[in-house]
Amino acid sequence: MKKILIVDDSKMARNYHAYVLKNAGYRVIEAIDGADALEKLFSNPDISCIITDLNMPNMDGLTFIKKVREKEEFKKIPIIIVTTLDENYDKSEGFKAGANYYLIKPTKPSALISTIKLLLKD
Amino acid sequence: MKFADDDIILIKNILKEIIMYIQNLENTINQIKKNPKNNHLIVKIIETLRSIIDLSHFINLDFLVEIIRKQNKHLKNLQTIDNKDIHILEQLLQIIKNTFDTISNYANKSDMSEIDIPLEDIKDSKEYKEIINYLESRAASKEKNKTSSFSSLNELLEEYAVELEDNITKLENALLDYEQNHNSELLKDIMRYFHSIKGGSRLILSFPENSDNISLLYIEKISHKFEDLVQKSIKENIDLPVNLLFQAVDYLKTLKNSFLQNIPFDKDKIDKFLQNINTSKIQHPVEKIEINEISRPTETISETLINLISQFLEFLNVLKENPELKENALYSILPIKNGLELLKNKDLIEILNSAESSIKQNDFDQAYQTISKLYNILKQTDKTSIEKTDIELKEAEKNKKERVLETKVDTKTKSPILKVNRKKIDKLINLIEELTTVKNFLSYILKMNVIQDEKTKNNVTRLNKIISELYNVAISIRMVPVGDLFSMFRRTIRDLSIKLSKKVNLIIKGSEVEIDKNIIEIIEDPLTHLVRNAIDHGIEPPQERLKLGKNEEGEIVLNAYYSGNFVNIEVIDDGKGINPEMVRAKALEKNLISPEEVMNISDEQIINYIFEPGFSTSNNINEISGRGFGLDIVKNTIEKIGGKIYIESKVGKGTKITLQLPLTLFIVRGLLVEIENFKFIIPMEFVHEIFKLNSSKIYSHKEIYFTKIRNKIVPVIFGDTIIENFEFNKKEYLVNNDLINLVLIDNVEYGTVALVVNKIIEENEYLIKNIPEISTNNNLLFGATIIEDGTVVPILNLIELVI
Repeated sequence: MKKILIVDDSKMARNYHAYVLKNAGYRVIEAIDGADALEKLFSNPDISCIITDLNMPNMDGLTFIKKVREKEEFKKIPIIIVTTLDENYDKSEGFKAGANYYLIKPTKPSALISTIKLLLKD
Repeated sequence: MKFADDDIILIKNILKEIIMYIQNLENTINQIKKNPKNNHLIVKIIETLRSIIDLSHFINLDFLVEIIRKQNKHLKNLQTIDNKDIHILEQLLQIIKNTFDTISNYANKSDMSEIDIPLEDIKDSKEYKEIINYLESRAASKEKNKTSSFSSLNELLEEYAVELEDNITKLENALLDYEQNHNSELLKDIMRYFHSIKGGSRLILSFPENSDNISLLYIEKISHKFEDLVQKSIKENIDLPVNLLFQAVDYLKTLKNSFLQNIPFDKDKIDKFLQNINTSKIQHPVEKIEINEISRPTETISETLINLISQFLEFLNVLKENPELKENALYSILPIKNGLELLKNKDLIEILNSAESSIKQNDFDQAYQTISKLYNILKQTDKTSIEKTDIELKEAEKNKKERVLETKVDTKTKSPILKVNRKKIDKLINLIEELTTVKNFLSYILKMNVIQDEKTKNNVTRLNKIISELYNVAISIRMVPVGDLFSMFRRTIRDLSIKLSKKVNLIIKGSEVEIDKNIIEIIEDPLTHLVRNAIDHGIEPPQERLKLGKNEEGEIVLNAYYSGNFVNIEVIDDGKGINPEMVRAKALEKNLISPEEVMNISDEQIINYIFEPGFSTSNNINEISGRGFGLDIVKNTIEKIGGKIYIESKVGKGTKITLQLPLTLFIVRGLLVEIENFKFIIPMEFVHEIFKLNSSKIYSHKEIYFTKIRNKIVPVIFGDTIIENFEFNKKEYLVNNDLINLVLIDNVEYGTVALVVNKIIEENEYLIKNIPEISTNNNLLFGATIIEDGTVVPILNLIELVI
């Protein structure tokens, strides 16, 4: 069963994504901010995909993605950003940091799952 | 039904205990007939039934356990009770009575274990079946009426409420900090809190059940607008309009309450407020999530694919300027390839492959064009041509879902603070309290020596110990630092000092001191009152302070510290203090004190009169600190939870009010009894058994009384053992040949002793309060409680009972 790391400072958002993913048969690891996520990622190198929020305390999403990509062993891991539509989020910033794709919050369960499935070739 | 030999000794004891529960149940049912809306009574019935379940369980009365469980499940969902429910309850009571009556008819026979007791008749009776049918049909109809198939929605809502509250508090604190120190980091925090509030509200709004909840829509609106506003001020480097933001926080608070408690709010006012805020952003509608979508994805692979490809085009645009992203672009191509492979369209895979090689050759423009072509083809492709593949995919999906899902989550989080919904904690503590009643039963069984097997015995002992520890931990969960409460006053003080044109600086000390959450809630209002008083009546206006040679800025200190079994909270101001002469005059005027007394009373003592009902030193009534009937309520509230209030004041220097508070509010389960018109509570942990005995069975020898219970000599004690200087005629009890009530008490030194009581009133839960007048050096008292009719009743501590 593949492991997915969910990074979000909102417990509710984490639980919601975890619920959807678990129903689709994935294992979920949760992290409350970028710094926590890095720790979780290093202790679970078998994580197959990362879904991250951007706006977080301690370490924001973009910094977190950059740090992940700095490591040779995590160059290939798919990273999806979840973001709200109206956020003045410059998509190029996400790609520059090293994200592969993004999803719009609130995420539709079907969109989330089918995107993950294509990313992980399930 | 036959009972095992081992059971018989238990049965005899259970029969005695059950009498009380049945009596309780009968009384409560009679009360609830008159008071069908009294939720407290329903809870009481549930508890009594639960105790009956426990006892029945021990002797395997499964049919009884089943029916009572069903009844309890039904009762838990009721707010009021109707005639039908009462009828059912009465029938159930009859069944319980019949069962135990039947058993007790056989209980005295020596060969009880040989006899087949006809309990099946009860189980097969018309009444039993009627109740079961009724309860099952009610349970089924409730199942049907469930509005949502998404069982986690409620959980999600609970989490939303916790998070919303948390974010609003953090937001307010960040604003207060920002007001004092214009720090750009704080601005980012403020923006993030608005952002989180917005995001959470949108998620909840995306469920059809809540999509038109007006409070939520407005929470979303406000947080959205203000997030933009803060963002704008960060970008353009302008100061935040702090007052506007405080207003927004207040509206969010109102809306939060309106959402949680379903109360209306002034929509027009908020509309007007929002109109004045200029942000040029367009509103984005919240996309609706269909509930069943969670289990049945509706977005097709081709839709996802088109979305991914359009994103990949954006990526390629970035790539042109940032060639170092090439490697990652090649990874991003993989999911698109996966999708095309699923569609089994070789031509399209060809196109993608050529784009991939363009990227590898650093020809990003070519790649962009190729992918654009791919995008257009997919967009135009008739949906029907790929539909079939989608159906196949869905089929495969379905099969996959049938596998057992592992739901392990790594819940380790870094933060030492765990935010938990209050209700969950209360539920946990209730459950643990229930466990402690099981624990009492276990201790009882251990004492009865019915367990022969050493291993079982050890494990039961261990279990017993663990339950005790669990209870202690549960109590500690409720302890929270007072700092949260203190920092709430930052806002109060800010708003008040602006209103009164005073300058006040708040100093908080001892925020880490922990106290029971329930106590925090109780003292919130009194403390607010004291702080308001300090600003309104204590702190002088800045000019006056300067004239007096004081610092222009007044100072209010909130200080908490431990002191023995208490927590002291001080409210200190450096204002004008309380003039004892003014208090004297006022107290005389209000007839609170006689002219003779007023001459003899010291300055320190006289200022305590400000806590008397009806006292007010302020001549002008204002909206800030009320009309003076507040302080006596403050005192009252604090004393009600076993606390004390002290005041010290020096004219011209300031005032210090100290609240001495207990660390926790403890609850004890006990038996309310009456001895010679005095009421007492005996904690259930001491109560071994309740007995009725003919007074002729009590023997005396040289003023020592005893009786025989199950061939064991048991000392009999009277109220005088408990109450000092309490004399009454013991013989009077014993001549009438009356039935007398005995409570068998476990005593460390003497084993079991029997206490004679006049009346057994009820078993219930009581809040232990430290009541100073009673607890003077008497180690026979735990403390006291105040029962429903307002009487103060001592709670007995019988550990050190000496006969």
